[in-house]
Amino acid sequence: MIYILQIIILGLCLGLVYALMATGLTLIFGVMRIVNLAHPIFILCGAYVAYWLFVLYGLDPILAIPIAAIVCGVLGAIVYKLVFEKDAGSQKYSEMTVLLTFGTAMILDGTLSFFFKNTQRVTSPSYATDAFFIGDIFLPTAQLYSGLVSLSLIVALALFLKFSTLGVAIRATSLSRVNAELVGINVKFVCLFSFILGCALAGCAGSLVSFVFSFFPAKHFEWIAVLMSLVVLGGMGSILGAVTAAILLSVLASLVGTFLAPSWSTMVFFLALFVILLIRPQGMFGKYLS
Amino acid sequence: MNDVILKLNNVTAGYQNGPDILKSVDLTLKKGEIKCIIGPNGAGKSTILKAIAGILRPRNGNVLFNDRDLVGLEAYEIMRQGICFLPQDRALFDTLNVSENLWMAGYTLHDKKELKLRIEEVLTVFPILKKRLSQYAGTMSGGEQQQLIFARAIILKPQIMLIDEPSLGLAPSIVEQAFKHIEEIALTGVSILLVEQNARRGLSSSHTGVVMDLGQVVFEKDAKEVLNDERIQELYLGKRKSK
Amino acid sequence: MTNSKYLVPLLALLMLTMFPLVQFFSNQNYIIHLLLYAFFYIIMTSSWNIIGGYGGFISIGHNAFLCVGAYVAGYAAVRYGISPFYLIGLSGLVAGIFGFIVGLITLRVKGPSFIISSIALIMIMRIVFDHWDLVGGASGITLPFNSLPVQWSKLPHYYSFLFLALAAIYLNWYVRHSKFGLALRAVSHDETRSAVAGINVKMIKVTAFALSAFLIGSAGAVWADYLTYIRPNMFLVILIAANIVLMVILGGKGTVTGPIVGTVIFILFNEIILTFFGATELNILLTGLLLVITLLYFPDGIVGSLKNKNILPKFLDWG
Repeated sequence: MIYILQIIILGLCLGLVYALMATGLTLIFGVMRIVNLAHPIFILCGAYVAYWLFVLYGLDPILAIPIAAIVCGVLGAIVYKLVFEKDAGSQKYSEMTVLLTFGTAMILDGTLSFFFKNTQRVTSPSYATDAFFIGDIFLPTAQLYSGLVSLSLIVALALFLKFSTLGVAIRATSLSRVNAELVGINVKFVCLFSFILGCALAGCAGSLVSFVFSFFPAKHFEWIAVLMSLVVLGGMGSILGAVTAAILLSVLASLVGTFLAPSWSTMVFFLALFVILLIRPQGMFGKYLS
Repeated sequence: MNDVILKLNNVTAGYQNGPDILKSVDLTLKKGEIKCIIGPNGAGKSTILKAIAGILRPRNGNVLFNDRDLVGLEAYEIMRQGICFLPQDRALFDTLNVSENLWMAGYTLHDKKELKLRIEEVLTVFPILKKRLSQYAGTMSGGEQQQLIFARAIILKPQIMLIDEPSLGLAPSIVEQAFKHIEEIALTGVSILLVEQNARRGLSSSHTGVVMDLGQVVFEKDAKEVLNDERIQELYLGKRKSK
Repeated sequence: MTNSKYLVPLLALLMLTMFPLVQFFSNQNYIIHLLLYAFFYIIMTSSWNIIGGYGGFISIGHNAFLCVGAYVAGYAAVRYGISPFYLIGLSGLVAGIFGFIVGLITLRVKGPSFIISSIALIMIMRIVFDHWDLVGGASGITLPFNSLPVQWSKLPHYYSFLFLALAAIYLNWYVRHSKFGLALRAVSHDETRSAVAGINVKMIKVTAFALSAFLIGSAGAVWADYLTYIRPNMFLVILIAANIVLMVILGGKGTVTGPIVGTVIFILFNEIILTFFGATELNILLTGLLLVITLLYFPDGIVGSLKNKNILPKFLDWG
């Protein structure tokens, strides 16, 4: 029993990290209706920033979060200006936009691979091998810290969206672009800002990921499907939904990983994606009336 | 009543790569005036409103608002100048409730206390909305949605309201009510440019009537005169045969 | 003028059929390899074009069917000693049926959801095949070599791929000009309106999907024999699917000749990169760059853009 509880808590911590990975994606989709397949590669960029800051300067990956966020935010701004600005102006969503994000992901993937090769890397701060014991429950410090930091970042984002003026504008734009413009919201600016914010969130997630998972450039293909399953299950554009889905699936995945085999655990995410499409095909574009 | 607030000079506009829908249109709007544009389908009535609101960028000509050219500004910038556009499809946030819709309307107001006062003020004008504050806008009836649209517009105290087809999809009694509101709003000094398919109804609430056809202004007269003009009746109002 | 429309393709076909004769004089195995590689990709791009170009369902997971076809042939070859060439039809059929079933599930959604589901398909299959001991798990299957002399060893694959490529191009042309293709394009524009017009939307979509899976699966059988060993990580990687999509978009999706033009140009481009830079990770970068530039500046592809300007050579204008 304690054993199962332990697995669930571990799944919960990882789930929070997945949730942070998915929030940026959901945000960008909500505002711009762009399924950003390049999101996972931005996470990887963040992970590499944290990794090198740690290796070269010994900076703790948690403290590296702001730097990773800025680097990814700037990268996001550049990508937005070069690739998406034209498309962001048009109301109509097109398949081509998804392919554009895919092309962007390949460009960044190639660049990262060129510099860092296919070596598996992981940041190992001092606490990476520590663990807390609460009774018989064993909690690796790295997972616990990353879960808590993710949670606080998600809460901060939620508060920002709920109460700040810009947050309100972001929500209005994701509800209806035309209406937002008619009540005087600068939609183009909101799009740019949301894209940058989304990429910065990817950078934050990357710093945490760098000491939770081992990573290499091609890893992002796997994450694309994992993150998409969360976002689709949660109802596209809904941040709360994505967070719930992340926690749920992650707990399930760690149970499968323990009782079946670790390499089967990601199957949970992919199968979930199929099952949602099967029973609720309107899936991501289904209305989410509150 | 005589100071011109909006002036369109030689405005030409069209969609994407398509042909010109508006061809060198000149139009003026005075303070506190209700002006109704009538004409057959495809005459370019709605296009005029979109061109003024900045949703469609004119290809040529200028739109002077208090002697300042609006051409080239984004829709949100024009809106912030004090021109409210109320589109045909009642651009409401369907999945927000009435109260949130009203708050969203005041997005551009930075003084939140002022906004609160204005919302209360508007709710006394539209008492039905007060009872429905927590209902989703998308689930309300057409008439209630129309009232919410008006409420949302007057919160901002605009100088000009551009209204596209206010009677669309409303029951006759609700149409009456909508026009009563429009008249009341105009009395507070707001200028209103109106496009109406139901030409008789539109003209009878307006000061002036503009007849458009094929992207051009055919003529402009006092609304009563337009209503009584034999030729207009025949061409655009569907004149009734002998009594 | 109409003559050149038929003359150029027929001449090209004649030359390609006769080309292996050069083997009598000198060993040109590398060029033969390049040509059959091009045929192989033409099969995949033309098949992809049926559902992706006419149907508007962009799949970044079509290599799943290649994998199914290759494994059916590979397994039968090792287990029962049947030559994969006899199994082209069976591999295609199994892949087609698999495509039909997958299509029933994933074609219920459109646009980005579909794209994502196609990626998920490869991920699921990768995990399943990596763990499936019957077909060798992650280490895969090794097929017997054919016993032909080196000079001729590639020819069975060369002609099989040439034949399959012709079939794929013909099918593409047929779909473009048939009532079925018209219905498919109608569905890609608006499913509701198509349904109202009396089109069995679901069947049309799924049939087109299964059709393209069938052809790719057939090619998989030959490809398995050509490679002589098959592993999940050779087939179930997104890069193959990305190449297919890029080639079709480069050439012009929704056209008959677009996939062919795109494939040929992309393979030449790849060869040039390999010559100048060697096989590095820059390949992925350049593929992505080419995709982004094409999408931003020539969304209609080469054939589509030329057609829009009315300067498309007659022999490429097949609809």
